[in-house]
Amino acid sequence: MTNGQDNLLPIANVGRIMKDGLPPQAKISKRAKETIQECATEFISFVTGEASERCRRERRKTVNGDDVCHAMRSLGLDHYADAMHRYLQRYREGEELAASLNSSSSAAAAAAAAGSRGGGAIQIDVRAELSIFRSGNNQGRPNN
Amino acid sequence: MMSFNKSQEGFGQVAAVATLASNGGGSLPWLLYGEPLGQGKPAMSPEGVVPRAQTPLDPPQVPAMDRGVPEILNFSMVPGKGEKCSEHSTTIALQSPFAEYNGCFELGLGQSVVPSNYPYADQHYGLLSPYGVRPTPSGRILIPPNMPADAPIYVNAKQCSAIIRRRHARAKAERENRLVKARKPYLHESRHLHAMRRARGSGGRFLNTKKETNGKTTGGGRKVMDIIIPPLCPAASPSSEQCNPSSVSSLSGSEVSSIYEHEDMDHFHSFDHLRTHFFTPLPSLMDVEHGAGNPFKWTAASDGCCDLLKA
Repeated sequence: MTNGQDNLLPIANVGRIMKDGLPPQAKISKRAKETIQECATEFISFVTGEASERCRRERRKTVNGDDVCHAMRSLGLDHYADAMHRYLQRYREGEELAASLNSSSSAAAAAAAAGSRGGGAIQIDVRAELSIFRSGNNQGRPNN
Repeated sequence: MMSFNKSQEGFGQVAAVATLASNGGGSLPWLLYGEPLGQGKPAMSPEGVVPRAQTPLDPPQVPAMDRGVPEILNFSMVPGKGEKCSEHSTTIALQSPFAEYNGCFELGLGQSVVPSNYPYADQHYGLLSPYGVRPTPSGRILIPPNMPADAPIYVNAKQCSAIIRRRHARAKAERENRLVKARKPYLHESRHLHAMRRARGSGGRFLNTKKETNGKTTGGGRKVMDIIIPPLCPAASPSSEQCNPSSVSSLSGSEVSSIYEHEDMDHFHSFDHLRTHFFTPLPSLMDVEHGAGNPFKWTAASDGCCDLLKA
């Protein structure tokens, strides 16, 4: 596509995430969604740029989760780094669990394998990992 | 997937390109720390390329120089500590813009930097507001301004190199025309044409649609719904009242057609459904559980919801 909208996050997902943090009767303008969309995209580019720079210094070609955590810590985003580290651990545990389920069900029937793979999808609640949501209704920004 | 709702860096919609000239530092690594201060000086004349300055370490402000000297001395004295290693990485990161213009240029500790006079374009995105109240060991440092008329901006010392790198990346994207210039009201032409052909009632809402509610549900159920029905259309959120009618595009084939006799009754039913939706979240939960249609689409029909309530 000629314009740069394909480099932005999907605006419908951004709007839904914004709505989760607001009362049910709140209204969100289109301009607000576009602004948050650009801010979130810039933040992701900011962190991944730091992670990519570290991989370039170490002559590696694959940016993994640890690089992102380390990038957040080197940028002073300690709260985000801690939350990302906990999320990464639980995500890897879920991956191992799904892999074990798939390997154990390889000798079973196809229907059981399909059911096992369906059950292997683990959904991790992201907001439970952020400290700002753990401390009740704290509206302040996390300190850097 | 993990996503953050907050942004640590604010930027506006101001898009301006200015030509900045940078002079290469000396052969000593402590001279490289003066590069950000040196870049601030050529910004006063963005019209042309500034020739090489005789004194690259001339600071725009005395307090910035006072803050920089102890840091440089600490770096030169004890380079083996962990904190100094981070400063060393910062120094290398500061050199990366020059490495891009010099091709494959390997930089190391103590290695000299070739002087260069390459001009480059810097993308301006307005003010970078300072944030956070937690004191860092190295404190705040002055970042080169985006525009000549900008006030001096103090940012987190850990993020200074990353911010400058992001400016260069945005300037590069601007040159390659990969940035968002003007937002299109829709992303897909075919969906837009289909939406324009649909019948609309009073107020501009679509007719012949089944009532779908978008109530507040549990996080787990919402995530499952995200996997089943990924939203494809921007500005399709029901919470946005400033939605452009031309940008409303729906998934074809997912609606159940029905005939309504009176448009005024439809209008009344839409308001009645608003009240029902706000005071009774349970039917919306049932709708999400059943996975009927597209739960994220805001429709004005209410007969379908009444049928669901009766059943």
